[in-house]
Amino acid sequence: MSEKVVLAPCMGVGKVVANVTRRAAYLAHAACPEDTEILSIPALLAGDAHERQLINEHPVLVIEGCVLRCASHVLKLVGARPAAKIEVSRIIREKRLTPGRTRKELEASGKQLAQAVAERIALALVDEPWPDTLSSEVGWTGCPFACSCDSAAEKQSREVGMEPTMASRNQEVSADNAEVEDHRLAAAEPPLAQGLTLLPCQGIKRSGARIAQRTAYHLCEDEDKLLGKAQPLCVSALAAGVPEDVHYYRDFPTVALNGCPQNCATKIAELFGIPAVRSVNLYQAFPEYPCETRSLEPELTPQESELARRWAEQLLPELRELLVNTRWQPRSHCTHGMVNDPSGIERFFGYQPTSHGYDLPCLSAETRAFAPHPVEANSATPAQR
Amino acid sequence: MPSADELIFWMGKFAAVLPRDRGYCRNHMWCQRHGDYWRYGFSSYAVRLMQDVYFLDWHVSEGDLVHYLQHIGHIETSKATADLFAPSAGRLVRFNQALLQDPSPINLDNYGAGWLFEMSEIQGECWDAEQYKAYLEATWEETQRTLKGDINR
Repeated sequence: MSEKVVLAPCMGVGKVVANVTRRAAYLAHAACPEDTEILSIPALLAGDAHERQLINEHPVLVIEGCVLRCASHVLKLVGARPAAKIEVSRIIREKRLTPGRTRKELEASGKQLAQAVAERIALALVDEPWPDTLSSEVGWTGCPFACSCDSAAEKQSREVGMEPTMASRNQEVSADNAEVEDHRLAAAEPPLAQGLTLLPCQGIKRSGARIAQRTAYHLCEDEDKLLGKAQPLCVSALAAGVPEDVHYYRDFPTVALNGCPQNCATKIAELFGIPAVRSVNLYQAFPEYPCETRSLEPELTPQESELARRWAEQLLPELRELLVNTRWQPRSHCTHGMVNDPSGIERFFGYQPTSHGYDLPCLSAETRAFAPHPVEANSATPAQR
Repeated sequence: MPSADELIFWMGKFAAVLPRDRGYCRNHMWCQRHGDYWRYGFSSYAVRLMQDVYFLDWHVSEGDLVHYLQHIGHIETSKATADLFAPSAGRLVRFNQALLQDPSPINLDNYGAGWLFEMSEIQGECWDAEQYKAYLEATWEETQRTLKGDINR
């Protein structure tokens, strides 16, 4: 049993409260650096081997910013099971603290709330409620998920011993998607795009990823930039199938903002079936900046803030040109079988509240079939299944 | 695609579902006969504008007679802090106590488990789904101006 606990904040870019979970993860890790590691959901989805290893070898504490429970959905998507869950909405009610109104930089109330969440994380760490179970290993070549969009993924699912109960991953493309596809085929020439969707890589550990997220906020929220014409796309919400984020992804052309050479934003756009029309890369715009440096401060450093501002200014002409010249028809995308079902994900993992303000999963018969096989204690490498 | 049992009002790219099996009030609450009483909740339009509900407090008690548009409560959400007003004159019979502990059903199931309160002896009428949708369409442009481009968040 590993000594470290992996903190998995929902860490989206869409909601203020998701930035609260980010900050809380930073604070908790700073308080317990030897006992925790932070999971980057975008890097995990993009196939990062280190993030995959984290969930394979350590218990995962999910921090859900809102009732949509995107982080839990993502873990289900990649075949992992959380060891515990903290719901920020519960802490909001207990402490009468709200996240505030601004997501670019949290207001004082949001920072207070993040501190309260970090304290709840610390409490869970002290309690040590972690069951002796681990996550599964997921293959990441091609489409990593077992769904009807890519037969290679089905082969991978057999290799990792997924039970037939993972049939939810093999759901047909929704009727909604099919209707969009028919519409696309019938259109003679797509109309001009009505806006842009900006997909920053929004990682949580690399400096470049933090800059990419802030840059997207500048572009979408500053009055002198693309306010009203662009919206940031949340990776966690997209993976969790949140309808609004899926709409942004399908109905507008996506521009991927990559903070480092891992190019997670570009990979994620491809992963869900609608490649970005343009990828812009911080490491090319500012090649002298060490974008892969680990950066876990709750606040952006002055250098990070300045670079985000400069990068947004630099990108603006290119994005404005894209706005007036890009034709776009809503596209179908690959859901990988995921349907956003906050109540359902709660039942699926069998979360049960504890008296200490966090939830523990309880294995039902269905979840047992889904449950990963534990890694052999003496294995030098993750077990081959 | 909407089913025959519901209408859709498009708020930008968000589809606000308006089931036909209930009435609607000017203050964006739905109303539906529930046994001997009338049950009320927020329409999808209202929930979309409010976004995540954090706190819900009532300023009147079960059994109180209220008049139309009487101030009856307070809600705080990720978008706004707002007072709540009685959609009809009548007697407030029962509040959904579960929401006072956890208001998330308002976001997750506003037409079901997210009901707000029940009333009896109500006076006044409410719109059907078509009438409510027409009202939303008539006021949508002004609402968007008020929201200043923040409608998609």
